[in-house]
Amino acid sequence: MSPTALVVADPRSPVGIRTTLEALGAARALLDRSGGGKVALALLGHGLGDVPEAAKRWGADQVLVLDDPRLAIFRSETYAWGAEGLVKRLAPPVVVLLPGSTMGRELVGRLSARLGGGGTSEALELELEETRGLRVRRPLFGGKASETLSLPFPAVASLRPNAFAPSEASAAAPVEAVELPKAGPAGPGAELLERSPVPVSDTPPLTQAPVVVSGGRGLRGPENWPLLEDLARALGAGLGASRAVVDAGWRPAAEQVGQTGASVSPQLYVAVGISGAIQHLVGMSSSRCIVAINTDPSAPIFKVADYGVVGDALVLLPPLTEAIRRARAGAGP
Amino acid sequence: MEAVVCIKPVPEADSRLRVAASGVTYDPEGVRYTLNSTYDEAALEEALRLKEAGAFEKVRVVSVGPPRAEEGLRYALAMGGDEGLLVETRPDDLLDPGFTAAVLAEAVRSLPHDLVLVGRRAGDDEAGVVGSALGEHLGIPSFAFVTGLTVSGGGSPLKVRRFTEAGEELLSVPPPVVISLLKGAQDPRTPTLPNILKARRKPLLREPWTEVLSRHPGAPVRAPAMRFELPPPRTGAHLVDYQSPAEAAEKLVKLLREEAKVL
Amino acid sequence: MPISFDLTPEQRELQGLASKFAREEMAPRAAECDRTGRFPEEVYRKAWELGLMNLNVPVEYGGSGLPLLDQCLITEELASACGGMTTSILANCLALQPINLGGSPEQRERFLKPFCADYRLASFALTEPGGGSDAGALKTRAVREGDSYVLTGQKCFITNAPQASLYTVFATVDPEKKHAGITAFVVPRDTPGVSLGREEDKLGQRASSTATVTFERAKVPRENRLGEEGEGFKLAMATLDSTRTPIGALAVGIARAALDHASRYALQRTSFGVPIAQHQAIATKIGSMVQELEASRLLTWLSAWMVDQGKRATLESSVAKCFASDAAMRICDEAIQIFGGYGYMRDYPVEKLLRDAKLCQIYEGANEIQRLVISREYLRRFS
Repeated sequence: MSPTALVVADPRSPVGIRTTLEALGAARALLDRSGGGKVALALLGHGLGDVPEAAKRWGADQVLVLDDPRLAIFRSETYAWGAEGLVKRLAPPVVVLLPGSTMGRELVGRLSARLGGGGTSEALELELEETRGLRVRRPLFGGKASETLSLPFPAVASLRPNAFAPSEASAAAPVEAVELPKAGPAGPGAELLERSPVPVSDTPPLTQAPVVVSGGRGLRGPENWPLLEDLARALGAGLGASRAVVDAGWRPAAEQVGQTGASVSPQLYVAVGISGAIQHLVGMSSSRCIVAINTDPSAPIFKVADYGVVGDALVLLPPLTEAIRRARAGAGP
Repeated sequence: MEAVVCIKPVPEADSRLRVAASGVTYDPEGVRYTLNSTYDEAALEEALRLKEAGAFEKVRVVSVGPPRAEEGLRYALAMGGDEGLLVETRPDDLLDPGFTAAVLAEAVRSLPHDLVLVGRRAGDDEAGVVGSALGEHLGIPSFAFVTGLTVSGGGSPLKVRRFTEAGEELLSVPPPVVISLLKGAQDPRTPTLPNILKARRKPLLREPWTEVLSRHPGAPVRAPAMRFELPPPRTGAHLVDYQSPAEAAEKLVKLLREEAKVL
Repeated sequence: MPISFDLTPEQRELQGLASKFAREEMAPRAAECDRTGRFPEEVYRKAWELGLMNLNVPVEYGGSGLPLLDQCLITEELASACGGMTTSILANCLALQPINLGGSPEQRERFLKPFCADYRLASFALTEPGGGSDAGALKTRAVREGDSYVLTGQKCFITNAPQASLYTVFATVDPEKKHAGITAFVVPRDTPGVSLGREEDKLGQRASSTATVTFERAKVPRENRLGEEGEGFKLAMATLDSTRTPIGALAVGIARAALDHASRYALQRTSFGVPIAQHQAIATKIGSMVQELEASRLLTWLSAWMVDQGKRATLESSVAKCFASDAAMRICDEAIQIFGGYGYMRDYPVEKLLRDAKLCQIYEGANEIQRLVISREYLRRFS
């Protein structure tokens, strides 16, 4: 009994496409580990144009296209209705994987409630349980813990962005246009009044930032902060500082991380040129992943860090920023 | 029009977590709960501001949870909610979001609900699943990642501004609707001491969840956690070996991406 | 009422409010105000907005009329973030309590209501340069002239004096009569003849302000006299009886902060390959500190409970204040010791706690006087 995986694509934006490819990659890897199965890609929308033509090379075995005026804007109601129709066409048991975009994360609740199976979001690891369903490991408490769930079929999971390798380009898969039934969710539901480009956001506030990059005396002077700011921009990170550099007047007090400053627990904390006085450690040691860059291999920061690079921050920062930019652009090492 | 805000008390962000003896959740011993997760507080603040602007006559607050969730509801009433409803579970009931949504739907159905507001996600499981699942069970539209909300009242359509990766969208949506706020009004109010004392006299109804769920068509699927894990204790940094700065950068990025999965 | 140590949900909420305020508003400014001596008016204004000031003012005058036990729960939370700010927040309770206890309904209406309607500060003015604990010997004169009293004299160490709009002043109408001459007055700050000395530069509790207030033929109408002539001493003592217990709670808050800092540090700091908490020398210190903290808190709760039950609590309130403030000094002292050299540095929070705690042994009746009161009260049972 080999299961079928259905990936609902989010072709609306580059992030949507990247996370869709990750979902396709995850679906393929999942099925391959348990003896194979078919991966179907669902394209929902209206006026999809050349999207199906491109999508057939994204790595699915089959592309199902629902092009319908009722799907012109994303509404969880109509999309769940459409996706449900597709699930019913596929050979059970069915696993639905959704991209980690806003669309996927919104759809998971509605679709799983509609299908009557299990559903969850932010999947980090997936595994099929032969008869029961889909086993999903997902983070809790900002990554400070994780839980494993067993979702009965038909299982729906949206994936955490960057947790799965994207699928690779494939030979063209067959594309099938599917008609939606005439009767569907009642009423217009919503009317789109306007759409505006994504506003450029500033760096997130320190205590909420998912990534924090902090600098200390190892940067040798305030004039070197642009190097740190470049790294922060590449990571979409908030900017922090050690007490020493705040006291020295290199950085404003608002950036101070530690006992007398802000307490942070981001997904990723990068301590650059910070030795790691207790004062600093109590403000950041609950971060999920800590990276330290310091010239002194015996610096206490390396005791709490997960990864360390011993060396001069001024030399290491530019190539690191560059490597992260490349990784984030999807062309990483 | 009347609004319902759904809240969930969760452990404080700086809580020290330990695995419970059952192995499927955390040990509540010594965990301090915030009365509401930050996102729920923002949702309630948004509802209260809309009420103060004349959009709603009443704002009710609902929670599905163990008896201690009452404190969260009292806090919500002290902030300015008019009435509370606690759908009470046993302290050791494990609720997954899908199941919570089914129970919550029946609770919300029993109340006037032109607008149902939920926070972006709970501070513990961070699932963000309840909003649209609630919409499905109630058979009404739902919108998530909402950044702004205008309600003119009198049953006229709501203006909903939402985030998408392709840009911000402004939608016109007729009530009733479930709205999951990406961020609500900034800076939720802190209840004043006199309002805390007054909130004691506001109505707070309690119903056992079994009773509420008995009104639900069919039995919703339950998918509680099978395992709860903490990352292994830190044993010192994995130091990257390198010949050149470029190599150090490549190796570090690879580790962050493939091993730590934080990029 | 059976004894219970379970807080009611309402008490837990009040505690939660105070704890949130302490964390979000007080703690981030504590180090800065300690360093500069700045009086963080914005904190006090916010405390007032949230109803955390004037806790003892009855509901009919716009206050929250909280039982003393609830006041103590709030005080401990506030003090765990900053003792100095807590003193300034509590100062209104102390200054308004004589009006609460000894004022006529008209006076309470006239003086208490404005404090609940707007953010204002008041000061309790009893202590004089010539003597603190010997209140019966105070020298400030109040001379009757027609329908007024003319006040002349000096009050020192007056909390919030520079910012207060009103002082409750204790003066004597006849020094010959000693205690029996002392009379209480409500003196608005803008009364001609009232002037301020310079602000004191203190060892600790530097976020609160302290100054000398001088009365130079300051004329107040008779309607501002609280009670009758000669009732002032009893009123001052009754006031202190009811505000002494929160000083115990304040000391508990400071001590708790010290113990928490020390515990976290002891688990984090390693020497000889293990966290120092595993060394017996440190573990037994923490064991003793916990005992003293627990005992202090229970004594303040007991005293507050007795006051709330309408029981006489002179002995219990003195025990609570004296024990808790002495314990706080020992706990802060040990906390610094656990931090070692770091503890002595101003970048770390514990030395401030010691300096803040010290005042708790001195103000609102020095601990020497408290011991005297305690022994007198106890020995009475045998005579």
